[in-house]
Amino acid sequence: MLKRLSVFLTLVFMAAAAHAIDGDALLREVDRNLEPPSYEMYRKLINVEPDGRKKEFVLYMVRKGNEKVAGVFLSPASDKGRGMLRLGDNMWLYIPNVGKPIRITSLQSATGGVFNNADILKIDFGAEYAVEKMEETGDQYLLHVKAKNKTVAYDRLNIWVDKKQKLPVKLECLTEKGMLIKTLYYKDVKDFGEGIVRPSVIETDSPLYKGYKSVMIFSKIKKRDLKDEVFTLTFMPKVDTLR
Amino acid sequence: MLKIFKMAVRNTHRYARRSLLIVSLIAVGVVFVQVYMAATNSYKNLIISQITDSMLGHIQVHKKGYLVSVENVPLNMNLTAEQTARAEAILKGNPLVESYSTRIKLGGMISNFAETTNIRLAAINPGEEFKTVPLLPSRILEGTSNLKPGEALVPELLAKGMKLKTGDTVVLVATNKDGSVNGKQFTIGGIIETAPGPGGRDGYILLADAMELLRMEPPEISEIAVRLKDFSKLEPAFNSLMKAFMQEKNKDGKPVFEIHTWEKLSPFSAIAKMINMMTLMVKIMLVAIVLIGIMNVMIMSVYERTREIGTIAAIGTQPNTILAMFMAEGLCLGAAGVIAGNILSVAVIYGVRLMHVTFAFGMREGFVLTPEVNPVDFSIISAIVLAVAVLGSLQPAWKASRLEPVKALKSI
Amino acid sequence: MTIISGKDLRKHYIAGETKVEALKGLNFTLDAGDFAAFVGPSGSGKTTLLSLIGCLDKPTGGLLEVCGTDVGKLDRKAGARFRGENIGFVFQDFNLIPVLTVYENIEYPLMIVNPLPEEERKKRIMALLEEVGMTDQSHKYPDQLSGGQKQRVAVARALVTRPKLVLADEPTANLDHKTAYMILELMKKMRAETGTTFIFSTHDQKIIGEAERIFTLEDGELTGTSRTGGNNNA
Repeated sequence: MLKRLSVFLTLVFMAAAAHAIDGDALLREVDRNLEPPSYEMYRKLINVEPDGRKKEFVLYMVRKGNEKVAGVFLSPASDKGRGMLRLGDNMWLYIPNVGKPIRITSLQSATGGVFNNADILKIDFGAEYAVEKMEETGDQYLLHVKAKNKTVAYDRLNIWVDKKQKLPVKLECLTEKGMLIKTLYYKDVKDFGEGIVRPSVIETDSPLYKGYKSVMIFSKIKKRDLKDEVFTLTFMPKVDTLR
Repeated sequence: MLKIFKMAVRNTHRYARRSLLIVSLIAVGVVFVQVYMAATNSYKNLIISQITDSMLGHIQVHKKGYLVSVENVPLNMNLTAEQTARAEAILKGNPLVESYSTRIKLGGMISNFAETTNIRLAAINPGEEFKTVPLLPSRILEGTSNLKPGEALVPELLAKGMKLKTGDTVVLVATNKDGSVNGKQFTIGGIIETAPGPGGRDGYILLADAMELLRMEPPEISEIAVRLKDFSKLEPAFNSLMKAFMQEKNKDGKPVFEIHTWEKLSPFSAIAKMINMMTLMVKIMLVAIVLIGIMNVMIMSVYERTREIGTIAAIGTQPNTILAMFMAEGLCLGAAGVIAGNILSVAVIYGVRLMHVTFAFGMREGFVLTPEVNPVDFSIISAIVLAVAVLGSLQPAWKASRLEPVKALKSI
Repeated sequence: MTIISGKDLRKHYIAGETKVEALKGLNFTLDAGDFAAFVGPSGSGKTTLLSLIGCLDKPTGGLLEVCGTDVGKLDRKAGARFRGENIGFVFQDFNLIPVLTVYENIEYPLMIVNPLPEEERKKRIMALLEEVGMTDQSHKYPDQLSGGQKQRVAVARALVTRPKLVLADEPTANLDHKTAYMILELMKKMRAETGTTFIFSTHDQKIIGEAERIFTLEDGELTGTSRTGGNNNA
């Protein structure tokens, strides 16, 4: 009896362990499927207000690994030249009028709307989150992930991943206690070339901003190696020159 | 008439100890009410003038719907230039208005480059603003109230938190109405003290700078603060302004503006109302004391003097005259209590003033309580006590006048 | 001239559940200027009769006319006015107003009841003070006076309005004999000078002798009337 019990328990633990390993591995796969570790990218951000009014921004972004991300707004004219920089846990905002970058937090929003700075200067999930639990529901995996430290924008995420494509379908951003902050919907999978096949549209809404919607449309993603000096405060006004 | 009062005074002396007791009781009650009223009025007025004179103004005008979303500092609820002009015309045309001041309210971020945090700002025209809110300059702890273009007054708590001083450079970042983000460098012109209530933690910049920061073209205004010539005429002034503003309607026939007194804008008005209610209760208590005290004394007096009453009725005194005699006695007791009470009250009030009692409110300390001897309040309380004294003696005096002489004469 | 006329005069009280008949149908008259006494034991009704004549109470039956007025028809206010104009009272217990001086007690009816201008008032009061021999005590208060002195003041007060009728209920009961006689002599003197009718009630036999007319009451009934120049055996 005892022998049977111990064998059973060992199998259960192994299965759990296997799942745990699978969870983190899956997350890593999702990260790689979404973006190469170093790239340049063009995105359009559309903020939709409850009365239907729209505001569109075009953003150019470069990334090197999980520690360096930089971006600059190309349009509209009122925002052209506004830059952002992420180094590790730190973020800065550059406004041409001001002349010198100011340090901001990941939760503040540089554009208004539902997306915030962390959403825009996104790095790998795996760099910030660890898988706590994994479920399977039909043709999707559901990953419950928790932030690795307190400086990460969201304490918890629920990520629904398509089993076949290993791409996210839906993502919920939650507080530590599980309150919903916002939901991201990944749509329109497109081939961006060089083996990058991923959703080209992310829609977001939030129970905290009823009636508001934000949409991110990816138009170009290309692998690119970039020098370290691109990701410095002094280079912020010049990110545009990389295009 | 004089004879009746002469007799009344002599009769109160007849039962000297009893009279002294009731007069003392009334006097104590009067002192309590007068001093309480003077103190609470001083307290209330100090706080209210703090709120209205250093921040809110007496009355504020907004676009309709603004106040409901005031916490969000909404930019889409501003008055257009044309609407602002119409509002200004109404204000200029009202004789009760002393001055007004236009403001833009906005929310944004303030950064010293190393740290960025949220800030609420009020953009003003200093000339107008200081006329309308005259105590605002006194809230400035360091630096100058003479704001120049590109300068900002930063709230004390924020300055402490970010270790800012006058002359430092900061960046103000604001989201514009259309959603775009703009920033501008400012120099800190001064540090401003927190005031109690909403808006007490705002920073201040010039209207022109705000319009630049918000890329406001054409210019807009969030609120207009109004100062009246005479604050005691708040209600009639408000009513006349309200009437004028409600006439202004938009294309759908709905009112363009909304207008509120400081009471609707500050939670302190609830406290002020509570203080008024407590004052009323204290007055009611005084009335009860006087009424019951006098009635008690007069009932005893009538009972003890039944035979005397019978005598004067027998020799031909009219019932109404008997009534008047006893009411005069009650009135004399009341009057003595009022006079003694008022004299004592004046002494106590001046005593409190000399003591320099201070109190704190909100984040500020060192308000000095300065109760005043207000002749109107004193007269009203005195009149109330006298009226109640007469009322209290009414029933016993009535019974005295209705005594049957035959029965009264038989009593001991 | 008849000043008081009673016809089948009745008065009863309700005491608890019983009806007490105080006066059982009296018939009598008095003339102006009479110096009369109502005599009888306690409970005979003399105080009640005096109260009715004084308009302090109303008859429950019969007719009572005083100075030509049917006093049963007077309401409270009219009664007070009638008393003030026509009747003066002297009480057994003096009943002076304690907070007024001698002068002021006498002045009271001329201030409150039947007002007179000051000059006139002063003249009358000084004359009466002289008559009753209290001029030197005019500033004193009742509690500083003897019984006799108080009653003298009471007499002056009763006369100050020049009433047609003065009623005195046992006016000498609280006085020693010497003082009692003195008061009676005073009242007689005033009657002689002013022609006022005096009626007093008493059960003091010695005092009765001073009266000129005597009405004897017993158990609410008038059992005898007599005129006398001096003693009476009733």
